[in-house]
Amino acid sequence: MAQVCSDTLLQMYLDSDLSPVEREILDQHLIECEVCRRHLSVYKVLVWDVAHQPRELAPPELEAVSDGLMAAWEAARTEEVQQRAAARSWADLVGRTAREVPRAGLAGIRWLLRRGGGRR
Amino acid sequence: MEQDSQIITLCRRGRQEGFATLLLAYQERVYRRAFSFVQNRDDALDLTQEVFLRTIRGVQNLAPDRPLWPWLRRITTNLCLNFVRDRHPAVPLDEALPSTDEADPQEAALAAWHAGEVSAAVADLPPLYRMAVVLRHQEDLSYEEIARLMELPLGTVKTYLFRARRLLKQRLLQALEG
Repeated sequence: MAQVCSDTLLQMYLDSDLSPVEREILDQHLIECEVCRRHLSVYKVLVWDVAHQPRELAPPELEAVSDGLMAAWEAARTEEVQQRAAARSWADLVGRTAREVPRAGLAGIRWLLRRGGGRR
Repeated sequence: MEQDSQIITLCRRGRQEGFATLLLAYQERVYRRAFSFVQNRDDALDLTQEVFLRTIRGVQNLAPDRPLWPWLRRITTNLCLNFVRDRHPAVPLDEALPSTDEADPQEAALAAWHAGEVSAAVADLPPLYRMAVVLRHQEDLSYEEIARLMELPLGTVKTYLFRARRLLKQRLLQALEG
């Protein structure tokens, strides 16, 4: 089973990335091979240690970042409100035009008709 | 999850308290993740700020029925990845690393490798290796998820991960022997 002594296979075993057959072969190998057993133990400890690393403490400067972000939020909100207001006034203008132009147009036609009628 | 939903709903309505709660809930987590990737306090602070500026810009794209952390983690990872790629040349995959297959681990107590040494060993890894290790063992992501996040082929992710752990193992063995 010496050919099974492989660091890559041990890491795949660690990640449960072996097929059931490969896993069984490696299980058998681990019973016989002390070196691989030790390497696997080292990997298990290592992975546990990495997963449970002490948390990096947040630096005091993070508070200033937070303040800056709140200001950015407010600025973005203000801009959004202004954009909405501009869009609303544009929509109002379009709506008014849509209402007024036909009315003005109708009045114009009546005026023209009246003028035309006068000439006759 | 319920808290996330409330935060997202408030943020989408433009409510200041929504964004304040989002910062309270996730700013430190984002900072810690960024720090674990880039290993520098000032850079991690800048990247944290950028993550939340993007959140402000993309707040309307947040879905109230989805958890926030995967979204924030994706932005954090992408920004850190770009940062790392700009600053460090790509890790050559054919770079020969000394094999540790021949090394015979000591019987000494593994507890001798204390937490500080773990952090130092992880910090000393090449940046892309470090990112793969952090995503695998601190975020519990699968190879496939890491490949998607880091926009790398699956095989490359495995190579980074295997080499990173091999380097860490060497370091652990050295600590035990020392």
